[in-house]
Amino acid sequence: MTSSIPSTLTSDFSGNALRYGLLDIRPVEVVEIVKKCGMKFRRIVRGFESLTPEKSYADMILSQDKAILGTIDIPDRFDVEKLADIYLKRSVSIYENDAEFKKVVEEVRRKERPLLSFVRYAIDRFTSEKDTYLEVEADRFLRSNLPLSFYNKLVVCDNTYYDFLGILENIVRRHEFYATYSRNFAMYSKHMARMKADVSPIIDQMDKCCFLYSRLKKYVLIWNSSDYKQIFNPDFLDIKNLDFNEFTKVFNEYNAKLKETREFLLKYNPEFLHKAIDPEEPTANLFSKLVRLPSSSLVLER
Amino acid sequence: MNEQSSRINKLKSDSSFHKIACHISDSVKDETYEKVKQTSDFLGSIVRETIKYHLEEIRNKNDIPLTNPMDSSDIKALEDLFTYYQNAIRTTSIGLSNPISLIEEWTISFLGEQFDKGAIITIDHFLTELVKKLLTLTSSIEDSYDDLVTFQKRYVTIKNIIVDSRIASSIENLGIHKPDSLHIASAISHQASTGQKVVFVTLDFHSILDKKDLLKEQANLLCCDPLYALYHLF
Repeated sequence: MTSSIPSTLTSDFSGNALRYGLLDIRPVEVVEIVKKCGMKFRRIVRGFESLTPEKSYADMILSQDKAILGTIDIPDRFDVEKLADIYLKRSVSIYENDAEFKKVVEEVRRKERPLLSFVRYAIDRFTSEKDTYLEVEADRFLRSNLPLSFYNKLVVCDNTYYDFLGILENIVRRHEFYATYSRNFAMYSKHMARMKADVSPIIDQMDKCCFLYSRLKKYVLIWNSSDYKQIFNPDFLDIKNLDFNEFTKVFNEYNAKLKETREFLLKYNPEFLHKAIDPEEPTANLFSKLVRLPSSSLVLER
Repeated sequence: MNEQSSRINKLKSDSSFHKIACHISDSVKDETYEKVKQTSDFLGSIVRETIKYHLEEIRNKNDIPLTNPMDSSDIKALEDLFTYYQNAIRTTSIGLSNPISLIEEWTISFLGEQFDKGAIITIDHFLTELVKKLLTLTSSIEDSYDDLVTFQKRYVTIKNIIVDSRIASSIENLGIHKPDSLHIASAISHQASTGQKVVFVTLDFHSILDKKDLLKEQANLLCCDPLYALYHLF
């Protein structure tokens, strides 16, 4: 049985991590004295510092979780404050134990690592974990009676998030390239400000989508948990445990935002949804034959 | 699928080269999405309810732990399961044997490949892999659907056509049932309201194209395979 252990860059936490690494920064110029061949040289290095050092990752997660829990019905057996605290502890624990991610974020702050490397790191990390996300959804599907199309909508968000990272990479690459060749620090800062202005609306949009994605997942998981221990991975997801109207509302709001986000991303890359499906691949081949059969034949009763 | 793809590709290139408008009615848009969803849910339920249940039942009956790797006895258990359904369909004449055969080929080929590779695979792992394959495919289909239909980024545009129920009924009288009758009625309504020549393109040979002469004669609508659409317009 696969347990759902997300890293800091899964779609549940995406915006926060990227906001932390790309937007919550200010370019700075640092004068360093370097010794070479017994002589001292002044070297000016450009880097970044945090805009809000006191605002921790935990603060961002807590406010997001509280916002989620404030907009869904919670069973009487759970206390909202305690749930928020459990989610927070888990998120902070994931972040604290994610040494690799922390190192990358701090390197961006300490000017050693350019922003493009940070986004590329996010892409590489997501690519390496993509199969795990798929496996988590497949495993949850097998331990539930919710239809496959429900899980498909979650996978679509994961894929959209991956495409969003690619779009972000292009924007950051372009701005960082111009910034690198700036004649002075003022020009450098200007390019960085432009980059932030460009990536900010995309991160905001993806954040809104991830918020509703996370809300939908939390809603389904909480209502299928009998105690606090189960809230991250209940034994079985039973559609009968969900209030139909509330579930439909939470699902439809997520679905509408997902659609809006995909349309929004098309403005930055009109080709991102244009992917070829190999008709010879056995599953595609099976599907194409089944989809052409009359609906009445897609029923199996024993 | 290959044959179908090449026919649709011909329509795409004709549409782009000759700048011919291609429209999809709301009824087609909705039916397509629902059909994909229905197929996806059907396949999901077969894997989760039918295959999983049967494999576990046989293992329990034979007192073999569920965590043991799969072997040829599991394949034989699946053979019994699929044979049962094939026979049931044959004797009752309810439903088509096609879906069962197709799913049978898909699952057994996948398992066979795993065995050939020497992979050690448990029932849980096998089922998870099948679901992963389905989710990968259905999410790609959703991308293509959104690209082509929802956001209309390619060669087709969606037409919101108010269908005259009298036209739809007259099409049903020709032996074409819902929702096909609604799709055809949309094309007829569009042709009448715009005065433009419309060619209704479909790959449905059994319920629409076999009645194309009747549709031309009684509803003044040209219907054809996408391969020939261009030539009906000139």
